[in-house]
Order: sequence, then C-alpha cells, then structure tokens
Amino acid sequence: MNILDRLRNYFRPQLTCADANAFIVDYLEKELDQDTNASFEAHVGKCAVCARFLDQYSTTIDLCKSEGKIAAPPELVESTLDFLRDRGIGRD
Amino acid sequence: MADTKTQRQPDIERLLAGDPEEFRLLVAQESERLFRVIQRFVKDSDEARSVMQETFLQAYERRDTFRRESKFTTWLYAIGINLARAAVRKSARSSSLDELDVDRLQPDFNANGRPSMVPPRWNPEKLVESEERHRLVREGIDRLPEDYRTVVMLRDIEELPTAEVSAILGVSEGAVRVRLHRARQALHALLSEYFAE
Ligand SMILES: [Zn+2]
Repeated sequence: MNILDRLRNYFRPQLTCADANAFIVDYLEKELDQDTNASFEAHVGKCAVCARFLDQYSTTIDLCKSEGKIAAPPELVESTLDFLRDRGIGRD
Repeated sequence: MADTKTQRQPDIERLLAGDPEEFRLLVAQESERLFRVIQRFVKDSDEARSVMQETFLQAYERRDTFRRESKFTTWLYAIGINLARAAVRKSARSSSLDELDVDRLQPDFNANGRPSMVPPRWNPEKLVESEERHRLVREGIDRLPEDYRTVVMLRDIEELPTAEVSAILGVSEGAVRVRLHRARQALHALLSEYFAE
C-alpha cells in the first residue's frame, strides 16, 4: 500500500455496524461506489460481528437458491399445451 | 414435441401476430419457472397449474395490449403474479407474519450503531438433516408477508436481475432492494432458531 492509499484509508469515515448493515444489499449487488465499498470491506474486515452476520446473510441467500425451488409437476408443458389447444390457441 | 428447452427464444413479432409455433415455444420455455413462481402464492399444485394456464391464456388473448416497454416474459410474469394474488385473496389465505413481525426480526442497533445482540454461530450442515433443512427454508419463505416473499422468490430463488424484478412488480429498483434486505434479514432470524449452535 503506498502512502497515498494509507492516508486515504486513515481519513476515510469509519462505518458503524448499523451503517455496514444498510450497505449489505448494495455491496452484494456490486452497486457501492469505490470509496464506500472500501469502507464497507474495512469495517467487515475488523468487526467479527458484522463478518459473521454477512456470512450468515449470504448463507441465507444460498439456502434460498439451493433449497427454495419447488419441483414442477411432470407433464406440465404438455398439459398446458392441451389446455390452450382446447381453447383454440396454438393450433396450426 | 422435441426437446424444447434447447430451442431458440420465441420470436416476439411472430408471437404478437399470433403464430401458434411461437406460442408453443413460449409455453415450453416458461412453464416450469412460471409454475414455481405462482406456487409460492397458491400452495395447491393443481390450482397453481390452472392459474399458470390461465396466465398463458390471458397473455395470448391480451397480446395486443403488450406495450413493448419490457421483455414479453416480464409482462407474462406480471400477469401471472396478479392472477396468483387474486386467487390467494379469493381463498383468504394469508401468511403468518405481518409487517410488524418483519420489523421485529430485523437486527437491532443501539445509538452508537453497535448491534444490541451478537448473532450466534450457525451450523446448518451439522445440526439439521438436508431434508429438514429444505423444509425449514421453504417454510420460512412461506411465512414472509406476500411483498417480501415475492422479491425473495424472484430475485434469490429464480435469480432474476433486480431491474427485471422491479419491472415485473412495477416498483423502483431501490424499493426492491429495501424489501429484499428486510426479507433476507427476517428469514435469517427465522432460520437462526434452527441453525444456531
Ligand atoms: Zn460491525
């Protein structure tokens, strides 16, 4: 890290845990500006509570992805095409 | 019909002109996802299927009202969600949490911005069998109020981009993010009861 980066880090406003919490969505969506992103990462890097919360928050999202999907019934497409055909839609 | 999933995207102009082949392609490509989205509102599988079929029917019959301001599928999902909501209202089913419960499930910070409680360590793999984990996550999502459940379903489960979720629901991207954050934090708190060591 060069002297300019060190200075910039030193003078960067310190985030509270509440601030960091409010930035989580934008952080995960990569929507934070460069400075805020660095402040966020600096806070989470030294705050064990926020680091744990961020980890569990991400796990919650992963669980939604992996566990939340309901299996669609078989023959779904065929039965829908039949339904529409009965109503005169999709016939050649 | 051959393996439709690997086929090309429907041609929007021919779809709007009422070309049956394009409409069949749309049905083949969107049925499963549309069904999953609708079943988050309408629990019964047969009812969800009939709401989904009604969605395609309405999309076809109202296709001349499609404004081309969004993707055709965005419009299709908006129709599906509206029909699903109407079906739920008819059966008067409501989720068990309300807005105040969601408030209560948010992390709490004191005046200095420090959390009033340290979250306990989690260990979902060790503590809960995978079948059970599956059930707990689904039940947690189902308990969220409808607006929250909808964003979790579209953004986190179906992994649609925030911009598209915003277009489907007709709310700003900022509003989608606020709801998403509150929904995830509420879900985190619900799951914490089971996953905390
Ligand atoms: Zn913190």
